[in-house]
Amino acid sequence: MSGLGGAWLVAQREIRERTGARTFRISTLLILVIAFGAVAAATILPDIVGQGTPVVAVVTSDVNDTFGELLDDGSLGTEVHVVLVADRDEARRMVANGGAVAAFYAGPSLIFDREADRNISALVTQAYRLATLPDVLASLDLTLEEAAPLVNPEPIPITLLNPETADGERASEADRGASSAAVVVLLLSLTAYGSWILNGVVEEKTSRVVEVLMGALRPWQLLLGKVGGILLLAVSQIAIGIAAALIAISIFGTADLPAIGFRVGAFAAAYLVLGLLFYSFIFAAAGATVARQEDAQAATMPINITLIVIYFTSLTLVVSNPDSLTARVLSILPVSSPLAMTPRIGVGSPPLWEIALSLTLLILSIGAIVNLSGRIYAGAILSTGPRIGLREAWRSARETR
Amino acid sequence: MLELTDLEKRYGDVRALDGCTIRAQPGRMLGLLGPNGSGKTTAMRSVFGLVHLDRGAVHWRGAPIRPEERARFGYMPEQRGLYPRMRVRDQAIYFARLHGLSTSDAATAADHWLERLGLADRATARVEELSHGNQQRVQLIVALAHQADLLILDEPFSGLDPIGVAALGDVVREQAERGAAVVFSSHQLDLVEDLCDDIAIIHRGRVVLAGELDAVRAASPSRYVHASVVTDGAAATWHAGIEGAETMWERGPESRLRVPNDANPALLLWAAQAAGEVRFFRFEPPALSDLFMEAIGAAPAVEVPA
Repeated sequence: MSGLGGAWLVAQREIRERTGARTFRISTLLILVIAFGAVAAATILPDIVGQGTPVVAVVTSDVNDTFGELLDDGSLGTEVHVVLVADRDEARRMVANGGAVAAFYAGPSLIFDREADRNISALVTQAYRLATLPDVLASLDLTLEEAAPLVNPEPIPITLLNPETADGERASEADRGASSAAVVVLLLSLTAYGSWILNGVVEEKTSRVVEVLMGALRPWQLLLGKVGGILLLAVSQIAIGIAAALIAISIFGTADLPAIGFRVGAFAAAYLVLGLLFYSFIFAAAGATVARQEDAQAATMPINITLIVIYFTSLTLVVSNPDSLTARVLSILPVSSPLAMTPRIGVGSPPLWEIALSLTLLILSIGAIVNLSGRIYAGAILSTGPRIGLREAWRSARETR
Repeated sequence: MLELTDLEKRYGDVRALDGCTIRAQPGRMLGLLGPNGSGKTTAMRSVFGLVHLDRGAVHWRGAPIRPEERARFGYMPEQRGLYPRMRVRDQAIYFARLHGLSTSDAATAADHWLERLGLADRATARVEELSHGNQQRVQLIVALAHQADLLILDEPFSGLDPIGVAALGDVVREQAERGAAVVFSSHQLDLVEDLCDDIAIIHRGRVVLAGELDAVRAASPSRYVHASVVTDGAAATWHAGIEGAETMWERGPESRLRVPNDANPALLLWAAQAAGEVRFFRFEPPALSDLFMEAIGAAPAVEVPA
């Protein structure tokens, strides 16, 4: 079989055999569940774990409508949820068992459990003052209009000496979360698909099937077909993950989703595909130098260690300090940019030219890596005996050309 | 015609091939013989570019092999090569496709050969689930399902029971009759003798004897006498005084002798009859195993009766 046709046959086999295997179906299902679940969790979780609106129990008989409304509708800044209860005992019980953060009854009296929440206390105080204001004013014989300047003074104008631009906005917890999650997903994907390729190449070599294949194929056709087939599967799994996330968004709504999620998601996907292209050929070349399945891990140790180091640096240094020199260098070098640029984009805001440079270098280096790995692969895949060194593989490829 | 000319391959200090020259004709079967490590496998691998030769040329139809010609070859490596977890029929189709058959032709060929070699009921089994003999059958199908012009089979019969040997032997023989050039190696010399048109014996990386089997046998400087002669006990053996005779082995009244090829069978028979009662007497050109031993210069295997 000649040219790309041969490579396509190899890719088709790869796709057919892997999609038929249980591991593939399970991993696809897992991706679907995780992507869907992540969106659902980001939307629902705040409501479940304490971060939701605090509840204040108020004894019905002790307040007028204005007080409840002022607290409930958020017009005083912080939103609280008012629950009306019948008597003081019930209000105290709710605070004691965690059903409410605070309880209020006439006295006036504000009850907390262990510790007073200053925000709530200020809020309730102000609501109480406003709600009782008409009565106070009436006792002083003033109308509401007359008292307005006293009660609601014009705010003092504020001037910032060093106003923070939108660019320099401090990273929120959500930004960090999304960026860290992206780094974890990127590392897992690179190593998981990398190991598919590694094991596929090693299996062909150790089972000697490669000798039969070489009767009909050139090494580059086999390499391209194998990597191409697995990358197609990887991309479709990633697409399935994205689709599941989008479906979850359409179900749960986007209101509560951090806006940063979309930008990080888009860049993570782009860097994932390019990073996979970059690393999968390296994994294939490493696999070709191996003579036994047991040696496979040893052969890819340098690659895995490199990835892990970049991973930890990205998780710590880049996320906490996205504009440091290290973060900038890591996010531009092709070896590390697939892992390091996405969190930079999520947490900081790298200049456009740095992103463009990072992507350009990555794409250019993929071309070089394909050439280099292709040659090592061709030189090593037919070697017999013990593990073959990179230099030896390189030389042997030159000789067989 | 396949021509391997003056091949040389060194692995460090070891010369796997040392001026090895082999010819294989379409429509004929060439048996490649030689002790372990003599270079048979290296020579076969060279046809598929699996060996980087230090010297020599591999030609097909008078010119270096082009990739599209190589795709019309079939190869059965000594250490089998199949995808262990791939299903039998899928595997056969895949390799036929790689060798240029369309999807439907590949499926037809796969089904034909699975049926022919008795694997139709194992079509959906994974290769690793098959017995050794059945894996060997699949390996043969992979090598020939695309109607290969040249079949290179490295030890295709090793480890097979006699029924398997007969089945695979028939199939391979048919391929030669169809017009394919077939080269195979084997240590089962009687089998090679039955199947082959031509032989080449390799020793230490070079061919020490080659040609049409019958011609090679006829050209041998030796003839063999296999006889059973019951003497009355007093005389030693019936062949003690025969000039140039060499005893290959002796067991009771039965013995096998090597004599020069110009020895007169009538005189030998007369000597045997003179010594005692001749139960059988055979005068014959060397068997392939004799040629093999002669060619590699090994000492004749003398069996001493227990």
